[in-house]
Amino acid sequence: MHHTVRECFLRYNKPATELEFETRFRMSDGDSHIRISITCFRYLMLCAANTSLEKELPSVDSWTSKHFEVYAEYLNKRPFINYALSHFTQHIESCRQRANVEQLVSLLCEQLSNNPASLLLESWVETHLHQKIATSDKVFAKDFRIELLHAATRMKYSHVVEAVLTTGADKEASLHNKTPLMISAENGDETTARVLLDQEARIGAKDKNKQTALHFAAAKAHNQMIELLFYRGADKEAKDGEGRTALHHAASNGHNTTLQMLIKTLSVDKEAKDGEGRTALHHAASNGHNTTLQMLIETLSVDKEAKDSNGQTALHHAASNGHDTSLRILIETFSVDKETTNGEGDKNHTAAINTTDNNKRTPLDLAIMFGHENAAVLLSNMYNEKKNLQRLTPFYLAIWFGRTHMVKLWVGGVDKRDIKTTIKFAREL
Amino acid sequence: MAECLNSLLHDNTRYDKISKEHKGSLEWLLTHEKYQKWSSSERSSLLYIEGKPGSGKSTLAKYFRENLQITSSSVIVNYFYTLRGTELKLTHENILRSILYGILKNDETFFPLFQSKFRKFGSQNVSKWPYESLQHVLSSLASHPFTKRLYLILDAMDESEENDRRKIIELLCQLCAKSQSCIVKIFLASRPISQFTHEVKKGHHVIRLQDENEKDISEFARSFLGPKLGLPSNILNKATKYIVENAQGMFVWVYLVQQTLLKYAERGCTTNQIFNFLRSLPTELDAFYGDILRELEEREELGFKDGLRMFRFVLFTYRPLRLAELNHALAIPDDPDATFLTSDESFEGDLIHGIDKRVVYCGGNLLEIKGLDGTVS
Repeated sequence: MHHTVRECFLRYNKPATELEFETRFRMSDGDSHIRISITCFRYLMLCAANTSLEKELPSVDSWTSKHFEVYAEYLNKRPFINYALSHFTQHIESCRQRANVEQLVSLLCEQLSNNPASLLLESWVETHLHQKIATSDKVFAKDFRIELLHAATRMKYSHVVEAVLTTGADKEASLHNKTPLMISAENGDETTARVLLDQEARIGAKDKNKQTALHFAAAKAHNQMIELLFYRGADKEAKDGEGRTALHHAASNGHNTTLQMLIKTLSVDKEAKDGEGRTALHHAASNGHNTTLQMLIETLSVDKEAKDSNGQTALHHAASNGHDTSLRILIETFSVDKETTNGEGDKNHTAAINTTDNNKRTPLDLAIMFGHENAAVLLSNMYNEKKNLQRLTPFYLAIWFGRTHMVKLWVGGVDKRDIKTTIKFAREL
Repeated sequence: MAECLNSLLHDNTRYDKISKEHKGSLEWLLTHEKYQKWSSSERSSLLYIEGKPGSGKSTLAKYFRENLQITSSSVIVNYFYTLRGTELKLTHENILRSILYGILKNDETFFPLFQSKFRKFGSQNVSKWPYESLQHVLSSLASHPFTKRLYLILDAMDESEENDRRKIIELLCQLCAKSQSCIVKIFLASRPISQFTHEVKKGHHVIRLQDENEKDISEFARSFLGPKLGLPSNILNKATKYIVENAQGMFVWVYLVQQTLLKYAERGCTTNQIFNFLRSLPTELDAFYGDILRELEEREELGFKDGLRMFRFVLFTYRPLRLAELNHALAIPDDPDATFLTSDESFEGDLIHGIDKRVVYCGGNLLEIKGLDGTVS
């Protein structure tokens, strides 16, 4: 409507005696606000009564989460509910001076009292209309709204989430250990998350494992959600109960684009260590995310030699878990250096596979220990036998750990003189 | 400072609501002689865009803002004001408050100018600034020590009383006259003010919108008189001339003429009938709206009632409703004495199929459905 049309209507908005012509389009303030108030209130009554679900739903006290979802779905088909909840009071205030308003409000509330689903509006009526609904049990009504809020969040009905929040539902209440914000973060449902954040839902809320909404979003690679949370003030380095940040979660799930965004756009600490001193690279290696490893090292230049609290590198983790492709990729990143560092790389490459952890174990030792045949062969082929003689040979280690199927791999290439040292050494492990 | 900002806060949301339709081309502004003089001068000055309501001032102001070259030393303050519900007029005090709010929000270095005044009454638990303080702060802008270029874009003062408007313009002229290191460039779009134009003309620049958009209006008129209504060239020229003369710059009027003529021609008619009908149409916007509303009143009762309720929702709700919301609101009886059945079945039976068509039919070209989510206004 153009503002000139509005002006035209406003000129009509005078007592009939002052108008020089007759018009039925004259709308008085008071009357208009009363009529809109009535529309809002009746609409709310309709939504609370949900008569069309009578056959489908049992009595409210025995609703399961499924029933709440049915009701949330019903409310999702009631688009005017948000306007009615948020602006009813304003309309009423605008016509307070009229004598019959108080009466009207009481009458409306009375009608609501006999309504089975007045649970939804119980707190709203009390705060906004300063009236009490006689029949409602406050504690039960509170739980009802929490259940409904969670159902609406699960179903991604942002519009219903907004409405239920306006009725005074506790936005921080957890069900199954998650707050509504965490659910929307895990769902990648930004519209709902925005509604919750606009209502000042706590962005740093933690579940019992101390995970925040950001952790959930990162684990599921919801990049836009991560950005939203970050710009709304989420702590990008927040640690969960195991000391892991969002970056660790993205890495252990192999979410490459998420990792890129976290490091490049949000500049999170790419070397962040969890409770066991592990970086994102360790997690990618343990889980065998090959392209992730490559990207972390080549594109995002993380420290490929980082050691965790056990002194283990990413190579150790890949070996322990038998990810032979990961091993090859990791070793290759050391060989790449060869070309750029004039032969120095060769040394790095050997040094890398000879790195021992706090228990003096090389990646090869771990591969054998955990019985990963392919990984063990791959690594042992890289050793320069002579240099390695004073160390435990794979042959003996395999015997020691009872990996008999691996023993045959090395038969023939074993120096028997060494058996004593080997067993002595192995005992120390 | 946030507190200081809040005390000046005022709704100022019209900017997003202005439609892009029926505006013609606006490029002429940037090459206009008066515009160039105003914008290139190193002196503080005011550019007055004068035009009748509905002549596209808001679209022009928006166009100006979008095309403004911003440098690090420029501060831009946009002022649009929209009336809601039954608010009848806009006072100069409100306008002034919004301007100052915009300035402070855009550039913190102006804060010291506000500070002393704010302290004075801030402690006394006064939520609104007294008018004298506002006035004082505005004139003290002239003594801002930094070399800044301050752009004030003022629009939608149409809803204010002529006296209020004149006061604001006086204050702004004083500001321009006094300012030293800080250059104040004021872009002001408003309807013609009778006694004032002379005063403003001294040292400031005035562009009359109706002189500039004549060509656009003529092209727009031709676009529907010719191809759509099929008028032969001699009548086409006459009719176009008639429309341009009577439009006096008002694009909105031409739009209404177009809608009415097209509807008239639907039943089939002669060239002479069209031309005579055109000449019988009201030449003032208000009279035109009056005619449209009268026609709506004479419709069958249900159509009129739905129309009335739609207008009420558009005028009195605290935010524009989307189409689906409007449909649901209309399905609820709003008569206090009417009985209301709390029943989904009866409610759903009262929803309108093709609500978009209903809005067009009952709103008689005065209501518009906009945007992807279908906001009704």
